[in-house]
Amino acid sequence: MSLAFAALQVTVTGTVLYEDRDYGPAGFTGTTTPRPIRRAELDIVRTSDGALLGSGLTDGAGMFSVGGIPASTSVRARVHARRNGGKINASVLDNASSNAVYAGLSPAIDTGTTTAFGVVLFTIAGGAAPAFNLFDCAVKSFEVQALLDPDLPDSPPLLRIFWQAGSSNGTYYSPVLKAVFLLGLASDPDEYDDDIVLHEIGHWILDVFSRDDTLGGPHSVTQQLDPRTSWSEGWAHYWSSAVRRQFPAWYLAPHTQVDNFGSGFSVFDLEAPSFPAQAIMATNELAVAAVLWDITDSSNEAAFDFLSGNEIEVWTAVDDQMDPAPHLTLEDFRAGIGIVAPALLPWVTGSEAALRIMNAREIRYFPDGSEPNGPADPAPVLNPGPAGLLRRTIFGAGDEDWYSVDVPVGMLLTAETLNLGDGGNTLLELYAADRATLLASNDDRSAGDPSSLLQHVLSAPGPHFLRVRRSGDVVEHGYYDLRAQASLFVPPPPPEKREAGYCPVGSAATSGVPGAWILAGVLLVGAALRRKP
Amino acid sequence: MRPTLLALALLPALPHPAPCRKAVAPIDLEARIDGDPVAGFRISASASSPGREVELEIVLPESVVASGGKRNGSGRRVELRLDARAPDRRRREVFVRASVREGEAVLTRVASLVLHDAPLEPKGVPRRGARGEPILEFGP
Repeated sequence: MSLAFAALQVTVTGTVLYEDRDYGPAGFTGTTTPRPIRRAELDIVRTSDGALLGSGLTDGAGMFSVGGIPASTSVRARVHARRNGGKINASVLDNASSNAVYAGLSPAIDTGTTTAFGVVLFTIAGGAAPAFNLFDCAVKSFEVQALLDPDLPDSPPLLRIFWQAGSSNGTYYSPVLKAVFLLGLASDPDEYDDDIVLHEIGHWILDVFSRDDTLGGPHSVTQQLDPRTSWSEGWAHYWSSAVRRQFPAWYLAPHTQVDNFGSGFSVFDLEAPSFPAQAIMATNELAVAAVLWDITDSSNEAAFDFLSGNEIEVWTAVDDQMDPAPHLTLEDFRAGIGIVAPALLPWVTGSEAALRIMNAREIRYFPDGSEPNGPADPAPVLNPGPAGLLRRTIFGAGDEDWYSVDVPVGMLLTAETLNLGDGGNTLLELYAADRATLLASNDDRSAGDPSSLLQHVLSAPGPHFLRVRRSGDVVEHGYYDLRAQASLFVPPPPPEKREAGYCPVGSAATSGVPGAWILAGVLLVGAALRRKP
Repeated sequence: MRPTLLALALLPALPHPAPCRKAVAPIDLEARIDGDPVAGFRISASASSPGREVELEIVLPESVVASGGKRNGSGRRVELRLDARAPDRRRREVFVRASVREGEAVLTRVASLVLHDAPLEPKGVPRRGARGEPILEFGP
């Protein structure tokens, strides 16, 4: 390079920051912090006509250095909320119509006078700061993913985040557009809610790198959901916390999830977890999140949590071992962990005798105390009465549970599964003493209730057999309570009397049929005893 | 002036363009405004949550003055009515906030009631980037 040519070009430097709103487990603090615009694409453009003079990237401190810029020229630095490369591929855009990338333009410098932009702070008032906060959430997520996944390509699949001041289009992940959308309302400004942003990015992760079979729809952390939805939401909570855990200088309480509003906030805790009476079973998103968190966190509860680290095992199970499953739920994650790190499994699931991470949240992925009670095994006795057997699990492909029940001839046997757990769905069958002759069966008690209820008047003495099997194809496991009760059977009156007011058992009977009233009482007791998670 | 119904706002009853929405608090929240903001208006709000006590509060924006009624309350089902007046016809938002608590956990819903709704002043300049792509550009 000649001296004359070198004199015509300079290297410009600077640091770009954005103004971040501080928050903690008690919501926004009212303060802001300047933070670096990290790993973003940056152009140096000529002030007069916007011509591109050079390009570069910001580093982890928001610093940049771009050479080959003409001397004695008025130039500006334009930093984008975008990056493709370096194991990051993210863009923050205004909306799905104009698809405009957010960019911040620095004040001009004259490269004949100085080559230093100094520190350029993009403020909340200026309008660009929220987009750079969203971009940094995406960068953090990719950075953590790169730590966990050595196969992450230099240019991963594109993550698009749509946000616009005033947007009321909801906060959600769109699997159709493979994009995150965020509210920009004064009443619910999600652009600074990193916990929420990273939750939605967690949905993108699941959809793009594993699979997401969520049913969607409104949901709350206190609800029991379809197990596919609770897995999706629980994973997304976990991912948000797992990413923030890697940035302790930014997030003091990554185990909490905060959603700030224009007034007030929501906050819940994965570690405790919050709402412990509702955060149970594989059908609750907070229970799922708490399980994943406990597998990886270093703050272990002495009673049941003995695991720390394992982020890579969790990631590998989700990334590599869950795709073939037809309906992804927590039990597919359990199977994935069993492949990736079988030694961890007992410490994750627990058993009838050992309280561990999953069964501490009433997730029961293990054989119950009645096993073995398959078709060739002795059948445990189910004594008729209101107590029944509690928390019998359907565990393992093809598991079927046989029970023996003895009720006098001529009595009406009412058998039922109750209090289904972990998304379980039962098929209940009554067999004769030969364990081969099917006498009665029921799949779903009623529309929307997958528990089972059957009735049969026994016509032969001796023990009969109840068989419980899985029904449906969403989950393979699940648990149930089983109860059998005997009651007097009053045969239906002859046809001519039916016209005078006979109502069959179990209907809204108004006749004075004693057996019907006895059984109705039994059913009412059963209904009252049903668990209300 | 004939009283005008200015806003009827539940929490945004938005369409569901995508399945994975953020979690919401298990609270039923309704809020509305009746009347003219400058001449005087009434905010009516109610909230309930199955099996839980709800804290409900009406949060007025700056310069909007309450003239009667109640700003906050709590219970299994809470109803509030607050009379207020705005000084001018500028766009403002009243927030109606409902929360349930258990231990350290708080779940909140906020309804926004807009006085004199008007489009927000757009920020940023639409341009083409150096490679011809659409950008929305902001100064510091």
